[in-house]
Amino acid sequence: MIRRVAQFFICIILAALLVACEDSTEQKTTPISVKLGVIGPFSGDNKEWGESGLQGVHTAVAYHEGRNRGLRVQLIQEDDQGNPAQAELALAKLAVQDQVDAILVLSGSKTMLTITAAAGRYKIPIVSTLSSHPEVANNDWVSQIIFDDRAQGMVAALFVMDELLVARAAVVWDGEDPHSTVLAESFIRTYQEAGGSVVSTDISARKDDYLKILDQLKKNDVEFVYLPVQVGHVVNFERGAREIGYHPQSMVSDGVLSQMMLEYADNLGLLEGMLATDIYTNEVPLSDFGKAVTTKFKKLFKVQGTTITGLGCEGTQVVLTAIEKCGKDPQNECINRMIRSGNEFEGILEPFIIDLNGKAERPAYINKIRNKRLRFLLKVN
Amino acid sequence: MAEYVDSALFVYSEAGQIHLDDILANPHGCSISPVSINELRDNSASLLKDISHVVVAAELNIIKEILQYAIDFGCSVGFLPLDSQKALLRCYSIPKDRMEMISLALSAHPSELDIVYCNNQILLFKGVVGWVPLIDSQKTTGKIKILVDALQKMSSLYLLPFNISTLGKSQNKISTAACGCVILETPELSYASSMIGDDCSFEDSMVSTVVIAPFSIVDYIKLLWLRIFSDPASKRMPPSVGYIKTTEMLIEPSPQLDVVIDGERSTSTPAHVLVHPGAVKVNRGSPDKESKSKKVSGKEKLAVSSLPAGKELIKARHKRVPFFTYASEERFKDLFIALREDARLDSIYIVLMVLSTMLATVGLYLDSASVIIGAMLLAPLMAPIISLSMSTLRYDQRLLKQSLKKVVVGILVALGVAFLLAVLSPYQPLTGEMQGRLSPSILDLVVAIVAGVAGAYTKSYKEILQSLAGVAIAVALVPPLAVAGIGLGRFDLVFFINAFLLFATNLIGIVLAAIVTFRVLGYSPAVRDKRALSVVLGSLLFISIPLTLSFWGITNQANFEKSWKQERFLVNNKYLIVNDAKIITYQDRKILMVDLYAREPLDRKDLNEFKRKVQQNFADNLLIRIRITYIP
Repeated sequence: MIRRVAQFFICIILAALLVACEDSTEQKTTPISVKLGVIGPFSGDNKEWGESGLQGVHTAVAYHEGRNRGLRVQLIQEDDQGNPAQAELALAKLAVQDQVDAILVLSGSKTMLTITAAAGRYKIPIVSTLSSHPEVANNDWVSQIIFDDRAQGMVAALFVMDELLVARAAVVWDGEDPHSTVLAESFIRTYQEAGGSVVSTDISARKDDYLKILDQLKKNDVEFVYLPVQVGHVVNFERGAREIGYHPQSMVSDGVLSQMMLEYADNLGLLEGMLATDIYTNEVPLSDFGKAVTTKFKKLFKVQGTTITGLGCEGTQVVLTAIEKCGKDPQNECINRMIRSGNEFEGILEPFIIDLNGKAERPAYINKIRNKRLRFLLKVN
Repeated sequence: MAEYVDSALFVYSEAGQIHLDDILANPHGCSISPVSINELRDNSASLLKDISHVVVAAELNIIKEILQYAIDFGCSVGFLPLDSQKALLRCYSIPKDRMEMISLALSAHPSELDIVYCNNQILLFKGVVGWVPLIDSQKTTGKIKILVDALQKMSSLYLLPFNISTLGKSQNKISTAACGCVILETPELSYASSMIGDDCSFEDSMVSTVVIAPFSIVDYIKLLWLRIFSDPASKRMPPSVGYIKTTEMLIEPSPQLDVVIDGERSTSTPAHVLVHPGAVKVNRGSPDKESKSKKVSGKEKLAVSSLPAGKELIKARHKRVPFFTYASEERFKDLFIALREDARLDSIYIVLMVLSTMLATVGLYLDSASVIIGAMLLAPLMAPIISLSMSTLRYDQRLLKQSLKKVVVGILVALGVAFLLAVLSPYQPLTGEMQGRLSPSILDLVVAIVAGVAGAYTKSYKEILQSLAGVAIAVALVPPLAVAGIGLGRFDLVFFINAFLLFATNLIGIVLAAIVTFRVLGYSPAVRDKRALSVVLGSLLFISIPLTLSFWGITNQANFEKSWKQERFLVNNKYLIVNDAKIITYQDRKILMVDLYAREPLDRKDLNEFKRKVQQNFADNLLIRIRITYIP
């Protein structure tokens, strides 16, 4: 009798131990079926951006499906070919025909601004992963997970003025690119307000005139050049500078190293020694989420991840977390509210929030590019 | 007076015949009568009857036979060494040139030399009883070979009981334990004779014996170190080695051992060694300049203090040598007297404790490191703590009680004095020197352990006793007590506990380290007071928990503060540069003290936003204090 009682208790204890030993991180199974639309440049000049961002999306989906066994995510991809008009058509298709629960946009500011203008018609939560233009979130249904260009330009200007102690800088920007325009405007205004003087050059009309621009800067002894331009311009600028033996300290904006890795992999050495503002850095430890998705990414893809991949992953993470919070059969309003709730979302390096206005609140890193990596200098909270 | 003898008997063995033609044709007009050793043995009486000089060319045992004939018949002896007899050439300063060798052998000016008998057998160079590792090798042996041999033999090292009686003018009976001994008659090229400064000669009417007795593997390693790296002639007698010089002695090991005389296993113990001064006349060459300048004393010597004696023998006899040494109290009499003296409570101690605590307390209030160092030097606490360690090790209850009482009284005096000064002081600052003693970590324990080792070591050797002051500064016992007393005076329990934890860390660290050091140095065969040691170890483990936590806390805090220097804030479009950041703890709350550079004035809204960002990114419960420097 005593033996049977003892056996019974041993079984109870073993069962309790088994339950206790189960992975506590695994969430309870809640059957949720999600249709997630993804718009990006999967062909055309910027197709590498789209592909890289899409790898991040797949990684985050795999991570979430692994954590929540009831979650089934159906990805519907639409190629905008780097064309805003095409992106608008894709948005309409995803909203009306496919009736997706949410849309991720992996395109740059120019495309994103078009989508923002049309978003009100469909009332579907849209998350922009790459665009940092301040007007992208000027719609109740659009949120961005990257910091605002105005803040980025301001941080760059004050870092140069107050920490590099440089009182005279040149800004080379592209008037045809809204991202570049906002960054340049923000930098110039802040820098001048702080007492600095700026030599401003719009290269949109002088794209074949790099050497002349550089020669002029050299003659004026400009020691610092801010380059809030696309990577192609950065490459041309740096090549030209080297050609005439001009070596100012240059600073580029977010994602340039990633774009370079994707589009100009053979010329990565041109970025050596440049300063860069970015969402990430290579020298800060990953968060638990960052470690998990990095492991997942390495299993899924045999390529190097970029900032664009990371943002694709984080954007998907935001949408799926919001959907999970809304439960089974999530409504668009609920998902949008959850995205803009001001609550923390897990990020690759640290958590971040999206405020009620759809703007991301997260640190910017100031890095120095060394050996094809973003070497950490400062974190701006 | 003739330079060479007129006639001589030439005794040769088969190998010695090489010299026959040369000696017969000697240029000195000496008449040579050659005779083989066998013929001599058969007719020794008739052949040696009218002979005044014998020249011998033969093996060592035959030479010894001839020497005995020479003693018996009163004739002098000349040697013609064989090619292999290098030691004979060296010891009797015989020239290597064949003709010069013959000239010396036929010389008419012999020297009167001692003959040493060991159990009635002539010992010409050296005899070995038992096993004499390291010291019996040649001086010229390679270091690698010595090392390899020594390491091979290390595991089978053991000591045997040895009774050595000197029967000369001064008669002593030495009961010891040893591996073995080397009996030396002439300065050989062995390391053993170098160790006694080649203090042996066949003209000093004495025989020298070097006894080797490493108490422990540690001592053996020390001896090995000396053997490999130091010049034995320039140093004092190494530890584990004894030296006896006398005219007659009896060596009685237990069990009986073979005695190897001049390389031949010839007899066994007990070995009766006797010197016959000037027993035989031998033609020897002129010693080289170095040997000439060395004057060998004819006095008896007895240097056996390094050999096991008394209670040590119980541990040493018949046992394999232990790793650590055991030394009896008699051996370190002075040290034990000093330790007992240190454990005695007297008025001087109390006065010094009061003065050093007063000095420390004032130094802490003044935030003056130099005044505090003065207090450290004045503080007499280290000595009873070292006594406490020794008493714990040796289970000396009297010493334990005395030293413990002295330490406790010292603690109470220090706490009391600091308490009174704190209560009486109208000024209650929290200085940097005080703060530095409020967050002990595992590193303080490391300091205490190293200081404990140093304290025990310096106490063990009179010649480095002056270093104890440095140890006292390193470990600083009184200042933490003074801070603890100040904490009591402020009625601040956390303050008191933190400072007292530092003192307890030092105390436990020193006691434990000193126990181990004394054990290694051989002051006890084992840690006898296991209970006391358990208490010390238990305390160590107990304090290690807060110390480790504190260490991690300090490390994390340091990393946090360092990382903060790379933090910037964009608050309502105002860029804030962190120049410095520190975390201090006040009444269990963590306060972040941030030193910021800003370009624009910060209003309440900005400060709230800054606080929100800090708490969002770092810690919710962090209190924040900001100092702003504006950039124009």
